[in-house]
Amino acid sequence: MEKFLADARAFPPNLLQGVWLTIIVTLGSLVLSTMLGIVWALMRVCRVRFLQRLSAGIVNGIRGIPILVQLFYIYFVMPELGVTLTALQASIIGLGIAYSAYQAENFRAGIEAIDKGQIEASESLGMGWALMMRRVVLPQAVKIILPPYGNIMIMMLKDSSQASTITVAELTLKGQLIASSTFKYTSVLTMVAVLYLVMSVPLILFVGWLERRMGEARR
Amino acid sequence: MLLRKLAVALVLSSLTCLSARADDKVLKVGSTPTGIPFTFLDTKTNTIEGVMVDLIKEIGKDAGFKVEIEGMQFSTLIPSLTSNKIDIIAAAMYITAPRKEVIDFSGPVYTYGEGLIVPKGDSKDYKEFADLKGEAVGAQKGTAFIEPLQKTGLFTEVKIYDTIPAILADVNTGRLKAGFADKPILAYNIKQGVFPEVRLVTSYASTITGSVGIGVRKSDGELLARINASLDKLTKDGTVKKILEKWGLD
Repeated sequence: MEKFLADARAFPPNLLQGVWLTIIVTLGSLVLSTMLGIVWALMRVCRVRFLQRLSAGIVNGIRGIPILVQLFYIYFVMPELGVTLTALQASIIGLGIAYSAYQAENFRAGIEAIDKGQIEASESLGMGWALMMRRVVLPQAVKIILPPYGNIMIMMLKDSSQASTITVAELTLKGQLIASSTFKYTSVLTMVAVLYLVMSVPLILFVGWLERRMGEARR
Repeated sequence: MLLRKLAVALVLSSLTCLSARADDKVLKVGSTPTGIPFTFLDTKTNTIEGVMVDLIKEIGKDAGFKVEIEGMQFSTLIPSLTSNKIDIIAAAMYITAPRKEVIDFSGPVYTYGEGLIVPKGDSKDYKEFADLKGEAVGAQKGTAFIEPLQKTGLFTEVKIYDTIPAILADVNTGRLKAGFADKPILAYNIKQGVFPEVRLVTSYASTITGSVGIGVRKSDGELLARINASLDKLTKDGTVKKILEKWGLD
């Protein structure tokens, strides 16, 4: 036990450097996936058949390939096609694109859940599609979208660990590094798990609060 | 009645299994798929081959045990050994003091040092770490090179890669300016021509030398003794030398 406490004092500073990169990767891919997700979702619900089909194809293609494979592709294969990214860029872009598919489906579900009456009323008022989306549909859809969005945030925090496979020195890789050089797997991996919990539990509690708030607001 | 017969049959068969094991043990050996020429996955036969594999097979023949070679990532070899997933480590693993605290090694098999690779366009004659001051360098996860590199404080970053080919690939595209790994493994990879834009710096003098050895758990003292006895015999009768020459190592 004393050894664990001694380790508990020695390792965290090193692991915290990893936490910083974990946060950067998570936030970066969150922003990118949200932006792309909105694009795919709007394409899917707009009235142009071609854009609908294109968006569905893209989203399903992204969902059909494991995130890890996408990351390897962007980091190891793209250089051969002329696009060389740093590990951090590759991880944010890779995770951003991978998660944009899930974001898109979430946004689409929220938009399609809006009562058809709202759309008919907007049309009868002479609103164009863009105005209707902006003033009527999206503001209402936000309430439905937020709780699953929070869940996706939590998933992204954990999936940032996949960036460790393309050399990003975030928390998981830092942990593996310390563990494999000191052989203190138990201490180190326990600390890594605890650090992830410290980051995700507040997020989970916040999403729970969101679900309750949104639930009440809809009534 | 049926249950009793079943139970008796089970006990008898397990007893015969145990006695059969004592004579003809099969030990699981951990190796890596990307450590050519020491251990590598031959994609044509889909088996792990290499210096250490040939060696442990010969040792097994001499000491009286069969081996089952399993490929895994280098950094997972020691934890797999200590958690009983494998019984022996036969890979390009240096015998080092930190490792000796956790596992036991056989006598040394082959000695070498680290090699430095840079992109071909970089023709500078690097001789030592100080020549690469301010650069980001790469090394493989779990190897004995990481700590010495980090300790120098000369490099902006010591990037950690899962496998040596991953380091070679990054130097090949120029994304990584310098990589450190086992010199024989780098030389062999470059000779095969898969990484045309990589240059092994001949002017560089290794500073992190070591000898590779066979690894066993600390609790397997008897196995270690048998391995060492066979290794001694095979060194004296020239088998070890033949294996090294087969793979182009001195």
